Amino acid sequence: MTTAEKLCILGEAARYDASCSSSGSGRQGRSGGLGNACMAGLCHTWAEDGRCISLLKVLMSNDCVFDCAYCASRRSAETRRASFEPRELAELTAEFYRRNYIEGLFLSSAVVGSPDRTMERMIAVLRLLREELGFCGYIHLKVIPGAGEELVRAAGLLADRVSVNIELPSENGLKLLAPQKTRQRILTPMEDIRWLKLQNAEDRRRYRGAPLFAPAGQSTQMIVGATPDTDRKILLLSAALYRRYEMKRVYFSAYVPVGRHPSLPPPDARVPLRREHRLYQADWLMRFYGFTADEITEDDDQLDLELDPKCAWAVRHPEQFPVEVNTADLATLLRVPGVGVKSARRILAARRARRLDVEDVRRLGVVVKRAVFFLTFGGRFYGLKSDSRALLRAQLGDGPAAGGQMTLEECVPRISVPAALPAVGAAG
Amino acid sequence: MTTLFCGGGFDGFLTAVFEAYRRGIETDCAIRRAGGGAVMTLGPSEEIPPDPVRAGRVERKLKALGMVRTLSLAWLSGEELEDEMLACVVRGIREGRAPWADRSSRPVGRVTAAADRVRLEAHRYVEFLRFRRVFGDPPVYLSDIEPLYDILPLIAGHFTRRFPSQLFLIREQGFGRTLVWDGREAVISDDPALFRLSAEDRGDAAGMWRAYFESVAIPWRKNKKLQAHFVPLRFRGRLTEFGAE
Ligand code: SF4
Repeated sequence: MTTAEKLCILGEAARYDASCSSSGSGRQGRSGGLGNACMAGLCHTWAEDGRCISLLKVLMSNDCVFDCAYCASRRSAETRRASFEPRELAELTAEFYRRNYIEGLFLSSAVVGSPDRTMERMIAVLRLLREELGFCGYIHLKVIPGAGEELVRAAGLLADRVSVNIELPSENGLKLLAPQKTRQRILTPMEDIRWLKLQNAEDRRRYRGAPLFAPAGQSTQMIVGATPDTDRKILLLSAALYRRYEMKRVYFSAYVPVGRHPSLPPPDARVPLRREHRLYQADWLMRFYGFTADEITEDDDQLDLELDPKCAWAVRHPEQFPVEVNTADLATLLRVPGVGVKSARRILAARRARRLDVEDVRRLGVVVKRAVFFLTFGGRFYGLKSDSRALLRAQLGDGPAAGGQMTLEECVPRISVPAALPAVGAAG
Repeated sequence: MTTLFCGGGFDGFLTAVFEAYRRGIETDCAIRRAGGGAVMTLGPSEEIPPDPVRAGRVERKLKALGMVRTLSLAWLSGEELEDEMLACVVRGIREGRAPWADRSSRPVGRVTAAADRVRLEAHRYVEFLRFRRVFGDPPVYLSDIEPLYDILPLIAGHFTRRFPSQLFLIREQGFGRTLVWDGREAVISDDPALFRLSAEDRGDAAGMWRAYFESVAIPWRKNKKLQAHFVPLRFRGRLTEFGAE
């Protein structure tokens, strides 16, 4: 099989891994080397599905010995199998990088033989890149649950970010759909990573030259909609993961229901894309806006699909609004729909020079058509005079939820359930 | 009101600022680019030749206030913003700090917005520039770009730091300039001969990248509108994954 053929098979198998971030590392280049990872937020292109491509995202192999019901690479799936040789993948990555196609490599894998054996092959790619080809670009390595701590340590010393997929929000889900995985096998490497990072920070305090361990931290991903777990449960779990394992990101992946397992949604169920989007918005609120999971889901275990979570919270709390744009503090401004972190900071800076009106605030980047319902400008209020929540919802809503909740027929015309099911939760 | 015509790029603008302050007319003069087309003036006008020493003094002052980068980017935009830029300089010097946070002020808003546009264009080419492997051993990589603004000096450092041992050329179509990096020194050249070099790609990486690009899109999430938002059509002609050879 040619490298090109392997690339297509293993690129396709990796596409359900949501992360493509290349930020947070700060790795500098070195003389005679290739690349660096010190510039955050570079996306080299966007695929037809509107998702950014920053890293060469591939599996090392899709020849899995596990049988997770939601995954195309599972042992029982009829699909073409392929595996990269370490040198083949390292050289391909370097050449793509030299052409400025990518910021680096995102390497995941099916479990080939055993978790340790799989990790050894992945680490071999990283060693070739770092040590032989002088590659200083970004590397995200997916750790295989069940891999030994020494291998996790070796991986973290070569990669910028390491991650372990939590896969499903509940242990029951795992038992049903991924019986060879247990919560323990997933959480242990997460804990190893957290601990190794702490140790590394200590080492670097003592010896400044000690190599960095996963400078961009760890992340994880969970599938949404394959099991009946609620948004509240998902958000509480995310918050716990951020807290306990110092996650940099928790990613969500909407489940595409094409599996035939009795515990999975039926093949004609809707792909919960709007739900996935709302979860990302809620996650953003928790990370940058000072909201808690409890506040976001205080009324309902499921997120409102018609209103974004910040608007939904504001509509539920009329007693908190309107607030005066010229005097509100940062934390209060951050709770106003239409005001982002950047624009809230700009408001604070701009009002040192003058009192702000609607036009000023618009120039500062505020989405005025939302914010006017929650702000006063020098005492003037331009929002609704009525107290009607329904009217306010109608002004703020994104339209009927079904718009973002595509049925399989809507999304994939004339699709027949393929023999090879897409990998919703590839790897490890 | 006196109009000062400045030549010689951003240095020329800084020289005109120096001159405005020297004469005490900084709040009552207009600065215009020399050769920037017909300009109607309402009072006396004068050509101010660029002077590196005077420009340097203004630059040092503005640097201390954290204003040089935004002003130079706004200048690169080529838009007629000289009045707004001067107003910002005057305000910055008066207040003893850069006024950039106050985007609600009209001159600040216009200057920062223009600077943002240039910055974004540079950022986009950091992402969208594509190299072809064209000839030689060791190989030489070449890229053609068609930016809206003259961003070559802004992106040069990124690529020389990123590919310290890779020989490459970046040809800026429209401005007729080429960045040449030989592994030691970066030179921006106006030599038209560099545009006659063949850009034929050697190797099979481009084909593999195109195939990969197709394979990673999730068909049932197709969202071409979003894709078009992020990759505007004007860039696609030179993007390998959109079919550029
Ligand atoms: S999710 Fe991972 S372990 Fe499970 S079948 Fe897919 S590749 Fe194998």
